[in-house]
Amino acid sequence: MSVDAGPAIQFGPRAPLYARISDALAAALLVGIVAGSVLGLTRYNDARDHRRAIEAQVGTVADQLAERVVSAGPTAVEQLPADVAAAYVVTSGGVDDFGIAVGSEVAASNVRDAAVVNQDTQVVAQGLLNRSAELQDYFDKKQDIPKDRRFSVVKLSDVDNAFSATAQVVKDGKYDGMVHVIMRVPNPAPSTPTSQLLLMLLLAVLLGYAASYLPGVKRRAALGLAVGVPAALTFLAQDDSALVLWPAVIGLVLGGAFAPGIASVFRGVREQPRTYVYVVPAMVGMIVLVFVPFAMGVAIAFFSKDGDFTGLGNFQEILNPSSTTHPNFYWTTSVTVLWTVLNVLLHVSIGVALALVLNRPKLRLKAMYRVLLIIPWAVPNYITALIWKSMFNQQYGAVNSLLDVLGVESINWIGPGSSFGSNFIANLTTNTWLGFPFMMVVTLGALQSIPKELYEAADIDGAGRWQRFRTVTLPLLKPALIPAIILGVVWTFNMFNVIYLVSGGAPENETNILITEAYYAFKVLNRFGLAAAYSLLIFVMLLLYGWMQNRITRATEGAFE
Amino acid sequence: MQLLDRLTPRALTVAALGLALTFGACGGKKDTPPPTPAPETTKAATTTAADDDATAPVAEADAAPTPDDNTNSNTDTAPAPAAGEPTEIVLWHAYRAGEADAFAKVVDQYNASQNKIHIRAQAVPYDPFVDKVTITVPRGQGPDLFIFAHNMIGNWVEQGVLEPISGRIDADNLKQYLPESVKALVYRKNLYGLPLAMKSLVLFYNKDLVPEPPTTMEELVAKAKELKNDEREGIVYQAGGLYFHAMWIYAFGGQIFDADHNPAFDTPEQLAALQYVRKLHYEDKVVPKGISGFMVTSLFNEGKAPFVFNGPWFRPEITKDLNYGIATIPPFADGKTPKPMLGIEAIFVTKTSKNKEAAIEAAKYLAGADSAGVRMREGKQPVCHKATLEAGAAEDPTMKVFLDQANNAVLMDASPEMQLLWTPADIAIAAGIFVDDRDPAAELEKAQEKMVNDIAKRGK
Repeated sequence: MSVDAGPAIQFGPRAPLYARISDALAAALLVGIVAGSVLGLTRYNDARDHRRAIEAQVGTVADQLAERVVSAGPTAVEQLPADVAAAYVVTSGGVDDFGIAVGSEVAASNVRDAAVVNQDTQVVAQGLLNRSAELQDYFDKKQDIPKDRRFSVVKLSDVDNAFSATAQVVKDGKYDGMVHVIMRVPNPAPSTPTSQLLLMLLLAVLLGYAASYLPGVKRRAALGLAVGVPAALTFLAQDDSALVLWPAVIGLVLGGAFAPGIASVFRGVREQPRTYVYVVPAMVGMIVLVFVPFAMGVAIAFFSKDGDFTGLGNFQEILNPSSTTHPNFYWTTSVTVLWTVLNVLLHVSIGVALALVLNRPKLRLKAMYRVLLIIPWAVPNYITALIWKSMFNQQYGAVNSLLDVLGVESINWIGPGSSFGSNFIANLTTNTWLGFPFMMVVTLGALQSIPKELYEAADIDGAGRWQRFRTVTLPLLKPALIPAIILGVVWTFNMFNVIYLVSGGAPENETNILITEAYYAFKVLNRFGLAAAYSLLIFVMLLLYGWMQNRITRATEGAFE
Repeated sequence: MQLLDRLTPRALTVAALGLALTFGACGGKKDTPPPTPAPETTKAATTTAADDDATAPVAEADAAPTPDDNTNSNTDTAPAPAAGEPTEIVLWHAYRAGEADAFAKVVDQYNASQNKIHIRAQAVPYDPFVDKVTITVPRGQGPDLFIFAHNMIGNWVEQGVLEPISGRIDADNLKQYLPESVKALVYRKNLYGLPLAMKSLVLFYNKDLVPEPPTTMEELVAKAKELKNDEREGIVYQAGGLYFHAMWIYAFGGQIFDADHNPAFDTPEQLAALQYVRKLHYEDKVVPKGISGFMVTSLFNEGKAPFVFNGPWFRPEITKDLNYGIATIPPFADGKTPKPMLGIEAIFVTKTSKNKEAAIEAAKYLAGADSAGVRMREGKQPVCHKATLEAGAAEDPTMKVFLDQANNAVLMDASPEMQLLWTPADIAIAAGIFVDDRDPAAELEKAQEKMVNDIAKRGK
């Protein structure tokens, strides 16, 4: 981000106009991100609180009506609180031979505000009867009616919504129908109007512009203020002091840390417009295909299945598992790390060894060997995984047939009752088969770029084979191997196909790695939030890993120098 | 913006809008619409839209980007077909081979018979079928009708995929079908589809090895023991899975769910069933281990399997020159009867269909008498249409077997909880039968614990 090619930039008092505009835009962008997200979240919360309050209100009206229907019959629908827009009473019939509710009918209705109901009365009636059948079933099974079957909301216009609630009519301990109440409820005014955010974006522009007059660190600090202050002021009208404090702190930090970088990107647009034109298609693709889904994923991690904002609830469930959760997050993480380390170790050692062999100038049929060794990589990995799975079959698999020839008793690799170790080894074998060709190809390429003179010089110095390998080959392979290892670690860490297809997590999910656990949360438990939280944890781990690896080896610089 | 909203889980709308604002700003676009305030974020949306019938707004499908508008089908008025032009109904099915040909014939027959409705049948591969339906239908991009087994009903009703059709089908119409098959399609006292065909396990036997089918389970096991040698197996089926094992559970008086709809795997009956099959494997040595569906086919075709438990889908896989017979699964001498799971293949109307009335009309025909005859005689389907199946049973003894077996089968549970049972049950059953050092009782307890846990977790 901070790479400044092109004409040298004047900072401080003598900065050109476009540099000032860049600072202004960078500050506004960050305010948009910080204040916009907080605004979205508070509105989401407000909407939820509003919805709950109204649901409670409509629910009470429905319950009261249901009670009056019990004593006074369906005509009770004539007397309703003034704010009810429409109400229906459905009487229950019975259940036919197939278990289908029959004989129900809409016994009475009171529609004061026709705009809240569908005008096709037949559709309305059918909907009510279907709903009544459901309520009868919940009653018969002594289950509570789930919230989403009791309440519903339909948007009527930009200013109001129709909220509805149903309630069971229970007479003499028997289900006797239901009532359905609809109220028209105006949308509450948002506690922070959008115009305030727009105003603050303008303020950020001005502050950012002003910051560009300062040199060096002062500019950085001023940009922090230019983000933090408007972000906090957006929520000033609200009572909640946390809503002012947190945007301020986050804004200051983000502004100080990233605003100068972002500004330099904006400056780049002015300085090298053509470069950015070239980059635009790729950036659009990245934003649509990577950043947006990623942001969605991050957002989903903080919500429950029902769409309630749960804060860190999903993470807590993962990181602080109950004692009955087996295998828990820490087991799975350990397995994942073990899996990654062993795999990459095997990939690299086998890959480098084969590359050294293939690189011998006098080797015959070299081309053929290379093709053969690259094949495992060229075959789609799920096909390979399925083939290996069959090879590990206890009775008919190739692995046990081979062991049989060697006089070893057949092993139950991945079948029912197999152990953690055998399943893990089966996974590991499969993934090693899949992984070494990549390392081999990378190493082969790097070997070819090592100048022969270095070996000659080593020979003259009297170095042996091992010394030549250790002092010439290995250091010169490093710049190519390190990025390959980083990639290898990331791929292996998330190697879903092999785990899912070979061991399938057996026994009892113990060989699952984090990504297959995330899949389990998504597919089996149907909990998108939990799955997203898993993915986010994986992302954080890999981010830390990549950052550390980079720090320690300076790999990226080394490779591209 | 609208597109974005449709991609997100419904309840996240506003959060997503907030983020979208961010990205809008990224692109330098300052005129992004602000997050729309309040209640349309509520979870009205997809899954419940159906029940909003009574509160559905008058019109305004284009008013604002709320998820409701996309799914509340009641506001979508069907595009009125021009005079003389038939309403097009899109139907998805996963039929192959003979069944597909017979079904195509039925569809052509219907399209030719009248000019109001035109069915466009599309074959969708079986594997992604559930996912495709679950994802596309709530977003209004799915078919009007589709055909699938009944056991997903619970999930699909919760996810807003299925339209209830109770009240729109005459009671007399329903009486044409086998009662059990209609009951399978009732969820929470509403009817959700019309039955087409039934699928349950029956006994396949090799007539060259076993001229007459055994009449009791004891006889079957004795015969299998006698025939078993180094070359030949005894009873070949995928014993290590719940679907195939269920018949033993019911034979010994066990259940999948108890009366309160809790998993019932740690019961003495379940244990007795598991130990019985364990005995068949270890003592009688007639049930081999590690059998896959593919191996069942090849062993039976090579004459190495005198007895096989399998469903009607197995018939096209058997080689033409094999002399085989089909019989109902025999009871034990003391009257205990193994009852396999019964799956009903049905035709469903989708919640977001724009032409529900026409779709229901078409579904009635496809399930009804004219269609059932073709599907049974040409597609070899054990159809649920009672009169047709009875006529078929008179013509074709194998149809009679399927009919008799259906009377001795237990409907597969269609609740959403059932989907969480398969994997733990399969693990316990496989280990309980085939693994030397495992205690079947402990395996069942472990499975029970896992099921209860998963069901508790699911709701959150």
